[in-house]
Formats: sequence, structure tokens, C-alpha cells
Amino acid sequence: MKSVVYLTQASDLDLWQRSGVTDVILAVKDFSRSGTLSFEEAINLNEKATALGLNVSFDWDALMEEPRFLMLSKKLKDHFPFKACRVRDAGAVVWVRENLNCDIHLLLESGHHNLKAIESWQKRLGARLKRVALSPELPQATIKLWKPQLGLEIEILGLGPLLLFHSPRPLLSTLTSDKKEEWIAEGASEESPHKGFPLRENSHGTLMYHPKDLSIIERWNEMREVGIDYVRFDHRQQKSHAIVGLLATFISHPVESTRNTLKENWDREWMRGYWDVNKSDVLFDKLKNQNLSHSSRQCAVVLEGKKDSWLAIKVTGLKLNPQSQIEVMNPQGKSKTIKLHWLKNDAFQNVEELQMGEIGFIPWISGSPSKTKISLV
Amino acid sequence: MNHFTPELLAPAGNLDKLKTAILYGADAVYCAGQDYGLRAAADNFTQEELAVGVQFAHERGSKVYVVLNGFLHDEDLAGLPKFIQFLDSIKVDAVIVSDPGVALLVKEHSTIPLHVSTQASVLNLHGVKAWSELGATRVVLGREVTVHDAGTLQRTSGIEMEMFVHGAMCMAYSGHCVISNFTQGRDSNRGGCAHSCRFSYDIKFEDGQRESSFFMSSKDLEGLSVLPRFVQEGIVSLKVEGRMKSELYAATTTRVYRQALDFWKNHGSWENAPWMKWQEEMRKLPHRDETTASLIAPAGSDSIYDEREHVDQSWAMAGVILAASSERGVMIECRHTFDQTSQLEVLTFKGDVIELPVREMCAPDFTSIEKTKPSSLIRFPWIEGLAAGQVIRLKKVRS
Ligand code: SF4
Repeated sequence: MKSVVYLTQASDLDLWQRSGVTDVILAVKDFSRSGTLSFEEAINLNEKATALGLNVSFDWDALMEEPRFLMLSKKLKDHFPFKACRVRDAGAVVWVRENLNCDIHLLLESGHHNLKAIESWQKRLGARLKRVALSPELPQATIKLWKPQLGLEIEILGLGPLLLFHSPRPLLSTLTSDKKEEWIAEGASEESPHKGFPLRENSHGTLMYHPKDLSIIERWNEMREVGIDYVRFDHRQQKSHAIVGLLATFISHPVESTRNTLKENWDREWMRGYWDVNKSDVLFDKLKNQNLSHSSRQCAVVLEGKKDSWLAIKVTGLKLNPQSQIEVMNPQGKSKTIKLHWLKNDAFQNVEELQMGEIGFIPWISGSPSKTKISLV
Repeated sequence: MNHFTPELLAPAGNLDKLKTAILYGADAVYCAGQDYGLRAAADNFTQEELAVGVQFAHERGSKVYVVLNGFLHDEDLAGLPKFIQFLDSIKVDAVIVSDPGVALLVKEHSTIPLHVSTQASVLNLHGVKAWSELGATRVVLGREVTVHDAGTLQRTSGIEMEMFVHGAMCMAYSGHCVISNFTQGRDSNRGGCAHSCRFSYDIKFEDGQRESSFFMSSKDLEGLSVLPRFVQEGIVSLKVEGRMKSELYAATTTRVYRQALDFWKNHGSWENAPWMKWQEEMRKLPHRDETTASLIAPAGSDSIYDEREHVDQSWAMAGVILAASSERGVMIECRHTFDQTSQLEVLTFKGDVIELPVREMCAPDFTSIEKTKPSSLIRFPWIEGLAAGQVIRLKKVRS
């Protein structure tokens, strides 16, 4: 398992190389949402890093509307000396395929939670696609299952900020009169207990991160077992640059003691996210009253009732007749079965049948308020 | 003479709303089955209802697009091929996807045209190209794209462009917000968004400055005033947001946008267009403050709502006409209380609204009543111009 870090200054190069880091990412302001480098600085760092035998990738994780895309992509076409390009936007991926000769590292951290989605890129990028950076929403079991089928290098975020929200709009600068390139703040939602969301605004818009950083590095062996090839470390939001030394120590000796030291000195608490399991769809059933949801046997719904006299219904499915045996289920989930002995149309006249879409009346059934479902038995 | 007119695409959260939107003039509606769409809390459609909805639409010359726009996990895909084949069998007019894996499955299992959801945040020409490689014939652009740029993308790519024209907006790039996923355990990209962007946040800047703000809450999109630009750029389809909203919303938005688009279609000019009348009609719906967002230029700070959610509502939904004929009178499903002092208006499918005087009201069994209850049925005497499916609104009285 190899380590990938963000190279932000030339003076870190030796340290990264000595710690065993194999890959560095260069994040340029215009192309990378959290980029700090100018394009010229990146070219310079690329030369130095390459000379030390490090693999360098250029980060293009920003999303761009057409005018900006046109303007900035031209810059890359003129000169792109980097070994690989890390791309997120589908348009940027296609542009890189058509205009550059570098390796492609796909940033699949938004969606791409099924193998088929990744296959759609493999088919189109062929051998140019070398690596996929997978979503932090994927549990380890899924990655393990995919690894032998993918035949690609797999990268995950091992330690670093977890981006929750990206808006192109200027949401922080509007709250202050200060003029600067980047606004940094912390937000506390009125929804307790979520406090301390790191916030940034720059030329890419506004970014909000999780109050805790994602860390899978406590599961180093598991990462190795499931087949992770590259573990990415993102120290860039740490206040003190001294953290680089502790991170390098951990990378060279990924053991409990170096990890504990790193954790103690890391500005934010750590969390594991969905590494063990992802059950982010199990609450969905509770969002809806299942007693109101439709079933294929459902033939009508109660609109209103008059005690001991009638229920007004709307036929929504299979047709009803005066001999129908029906089951009613009220919104609380209580059900009963009865046999109809009369059926009336919307003019309150006896009829032999009510069709889908028609309004009609059936005998009163207690405990069957509006929205009660009627199904044929 | 008929002039190019964009398609009017309305939301259909359930079968009733589908019918409402079509009766009020939607060229097409979009709706979801029980799974795979992005509104886990919406009623959504059973397969039987989808079949009925498609038939209802096709009989009236309208189209039905089915959303399959979640970012799906492997296990979610298991039943999808069967569902896609079902959609093909009932002849839906397109499916709307945001996940390339779902796009491949649609192509493998059907001949249904493929539209790309705004959830995929397609923002540039190469993004359009990426999806056309997967067989997409239409792209619902990211809401960050201006109408002018959309026109250029459409002309350059030869792919149809669809844009949101009205309704609530995600503050984030669509598909790029996972707040709910990591704070509430609900996958926003599979329909579980908890709308955390609508909450108030205490913001503490680096220098210690503090602000309390609804800084992530977006005003609603208003594109009526931008219609001339959409038309000028030849944008193929204009989409109204709001599958979770009421039939009053479906009726009002569809009716007003239909009137405006028909005005253009019939005149080929916007001269003397009754903009004020259309805007006033729209204002009768509950809404947040409005913005044209990025339709003209990138959305700025004036697009932030910065207020707690509240309903600014001068009119409410009174009910919907279930049956109407000169012989049998009118039957209304009430959604609100009203009596003889109430001011009611019927939204006709075409033409002006009809004022509905509240005089003789009866219960379904013809016993006379003075006042309605929500969720009750009432009978009204027949009035010329009333028809089943029309929505009735009620002027709210401020206490
Ligand atoms: S929380 Fe707000 S910004 Fe995020 S997905 Fe939901 S609506 Fe969009």
C-alpha cells in the first residue's frame, strides 16, 4: 500500500521522499477546489519532485461552467508536464482524454457507488485510466468485492477533511465587508449536536466540511486486506505545518504509536465514516407512512365517511362491484375485511360497477377515515 | 403562424398531480416509481399508476419522463433491469438518470430515450459529450449554467438542453451535497436529503467576527421573467421543480407558464404580453423570495434567502373538482374549511379564473351544509365552465 500526499512547498519534498511517499498531488488554485499553488509553482514543484523519483499528479477537481472551462483548459493544452491528471467533472475527463497524453486518475468521490458506473468509464478511457479514487461512502466490503474485477489502482482518502457541500455561490463573503481571496470560518448548525463545520470560500465557491476529519488509518491492515493500493493523506487544513513531520513519521512507520502521536497533534477529531457499513437508506421507509403507500391489490381510497351511513371512495385501481370482498387498512395500519352489499355512483344511485378514476359510495365501515386504503381480497 | 416554443415540463408527485399538470397544459411531466428517484418521502407511483399515467398523458398528446436519478449502490441495481423493461413496455417517453451505471443499464435493457438529470451537474460542452457517449439525447443542465451558455451548448453539441425555470433550488452543485449522509445517516443522493441548508448557522470567522445566518438557504428560482431569453436561445425544454408540492402549485405554475408560452407561440413576439397578470397569479402561491439565480449571470449574494422557512400564503388550496356535469352538478373534494363568506376561485384549464360563489352546498348524500371540513366531499350547483380536475383556491382571511 502506497501513500499519496499533497505537496504544497518545495521544502517538504525531502521529508516526503524519505518517508516512503511515492505520489504527490499538486493542487493549483484555478483547477483545484482547495488549491493553493499557482500554475508556475506547480510546474516548478513537478520538476523537483520528478527528479526525486516521485510520481506527480495534477489535481483538477473543480467544477467549471463552459466559459471558465474554455479559458482554463487552454492553459493546460499549451503545457502539461505532469505524469497524471486527477479529474472529477465528466467534462474534464473527456477533455483530458482528448487533449492530453497523461495518465488519468478518476475522482469518483461523488456517486459512482456501483461497479457498472466505473465500468462506463473504463470502457471509454481504456488504458489511459490508471487509478480510481473511490467514494468515502463505500464500505470496505464493497471495495473488497470490486478489487479483483476492476483491474485498476484503487485510492481512498485515508486521513483528511471530508467535503460535505460545495456551492458555486459566495456564501461567506456576503457576511463580511472584508475583501480577500479566501474566507475561512466555522459554522454551528442549530441542529444540535452538529457544531464546528469548517467553511471556506474561494474562487470556486463555498465549501463545507465535516467537523471531524475522516480517518481510516486506524484500520491499516484492513485497508491492505481489501486491496487499497493508495492511501491519500490531506494535511492542508491543519493550522501548524509542523504536522507534516508527524505525518511523514507515520507514513514511514504506520504503527499505533506514530498514529497516536499524529492523532494527538491533529487539529480535528477523527471519524471512520462508512468504512464498516453504509446504511444510509434504511431510514427511508420511515420518511413515508407505509400504511398509505400503494399496493398492487389496492383498488380504492376513502375520501370521507358519514357515520353509520356511507364511505365516499375514489377508485384508483381494479374495479369494484357490489359483491366485492374488500380489506380496508387505515393510516394507523389497522385493517379489517368485509363484503360489500351495495355500491353507489357519485349521484348516489346504485350501480353494478365502479371503474378506475370514478367516485362512488360503499357502506360505512368504522375506523376508516380519509386516506384509508381499500384492496380486493 | 406557430413559433418555436419550448416544451413545458411539469412535476408529478403522484397520479393526481400528473393529471392536474396535464389538464392544465403541460407538454410533459416527470415522475418517479417507488424506488430509484430522489424523493424518498414523496408518494411516487406504483407500476399500475405509472401505466395509467402514461396512458392518460399520451391520450392528451403529453409525454411522461420517469426519474431514475439516484446515485445507486450495487444492491440497488438488482431490480432495476426489470423495472426498466416495464417502463419500456408502457412506453414512457424518456428516463432521467444521473448515474452512469444506470445509464448503461437503461441502454442494455430498453430503447427508452435517455435524459441526464441536473443531479449529474453537467456544466460544459465536454460534460454534454461525456453523456452523449452513453447515449443521452437530452441534458438537464446544472443550475449554474446561464440561458445564453445553454443555448450555445445546445447548438454546438446537437443535444437537447433542458433547464429548470421555476421552483426551489439546491444551494449546492446538484449531487455535491452529502450533509444529510454524514450528519443524519440519510443518503441525499438516494432521496434522503434532510434540507440542512435551510437551517440557521452561527458563523465564526477566523478573525473572531460572528454572524448568525441562514447563509446556505437559496431563494426560489423564478424564470417567468426570463422566458424571452429561453425562447431566443431555443432551449428545448423548461422544467418546473416541485414533485412534493400541492395540486394548487401544479395547476398554477403549469397554467401560467402555459399561457405565457402560448402567447409567444401565437404572436411570435412578447409585445403586450400580460406579464403583470402572470406574475400576480404566481404570487398567489406560497413561495420564498425569488431569484433568477444563474439564468442570466452567475448567482450572487442576492440569491441567498437568509430567512427561516415560512409560508407567505395569501391563497390556499380549497379543493379539487372530482366530477362536474350540468345534470349531476359538481362534486368537490375539500382541502380547507370554507363557508358562504369565503372567496373562492376556480383555475380553469384555459382562460380566466371563475369566481365561485359559495351558496348552496350539500354533503354527498344531498343534506345541506353551511361549512366545509378539510378532507370532505361537497356538492355544488353546476356552473358553466367547471370541469373535473380543476383546482379551486381560497383567499385566506388574515385574523
Ligand atoms: S441539504 Fe440543501 S443543498 Fe444539500 S442536497 Fe439538500 S437541498 Fe441540496
